[in-house]
Amino acid sequence: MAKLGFVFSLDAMLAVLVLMAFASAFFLLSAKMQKDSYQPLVMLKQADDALAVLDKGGMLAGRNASIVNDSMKQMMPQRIGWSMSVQYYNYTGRFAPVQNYSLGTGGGGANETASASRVFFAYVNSTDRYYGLARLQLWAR
Amino acid sequence: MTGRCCGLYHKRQQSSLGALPANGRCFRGQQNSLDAVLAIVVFALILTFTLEFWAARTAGADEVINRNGYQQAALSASDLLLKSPGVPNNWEANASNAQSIGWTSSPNVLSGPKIGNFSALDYERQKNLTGLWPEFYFEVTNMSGSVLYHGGNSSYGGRQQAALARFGLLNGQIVRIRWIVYG
Repeated sequence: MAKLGFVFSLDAMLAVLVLMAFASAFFLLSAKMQKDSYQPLVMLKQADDALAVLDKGGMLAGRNASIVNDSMKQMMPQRIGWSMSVQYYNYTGRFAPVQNYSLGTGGGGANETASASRVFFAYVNSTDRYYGLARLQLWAR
Repeated sequence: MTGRCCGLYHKRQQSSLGALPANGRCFRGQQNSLDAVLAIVVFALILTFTLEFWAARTAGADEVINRNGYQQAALSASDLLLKSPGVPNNWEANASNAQSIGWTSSPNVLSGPKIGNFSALDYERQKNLTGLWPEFYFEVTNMSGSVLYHGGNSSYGGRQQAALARFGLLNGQIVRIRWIVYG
């Protein structure tokens, strides 16, 4: 005696279950693969803000690494790692490096980093002028 | 091996199901009421599960869409306020005539009168001028944590929100501007 209908129902049920398992796995994996773009964008804005504040507040123009370091520590929370390099040049026919320093800690191994750079001008007096380039990198600890 | 089933001739291979019965009767699944009931029950269970699963996924997607909207609104509003002086530049002298709002005299250099006059505006007017459609709250604090200015609606506890911190200069000192956009 052939109960074909019962066998076909089981087969259909199994096929639907397999389809649902596949669809669930697909949606779950798709959601996990999407990277969060908000936090990196926020860090990028914060890096740009920090450099603008240091420039317009005169900290970069002062050429004092300690003051810049203290200001950065005030701004950046503990959960944000940062590293900064600042280079100063003067111009006497051509740009010549005058001073440079690096601050912060290394960010090796960080998955997502945000970087910003800023060119600034430091005017001390008519004969004492510097051009500078500051680079700042932020990452989530 | 050939056989006759319900008036139709067909060839039938030898299978585990055995040969046709001698009287030639066929058992068709569709005519078996027990099998039909079982199939309907199974189908109803699968349909219910599928609809529940779909509703759950849709609700999760709505949350993500709302959160993305709050994040985008927070970024846009903070950029507008921290990077532009507003229109007209001296809108703080007559806030009712402001066409666009900004807190700065130059990018990231904040103006106390502009922030103060913005805080004094009606909440709905603040939302209109910043283009914020969800609710929002902001604080301007110094590096010691003292609140210098604040505004918006502070009832954001327990609600889906996007938070953002930016930096600026106010009267020569570094300040932190904290935005919370929620719905």
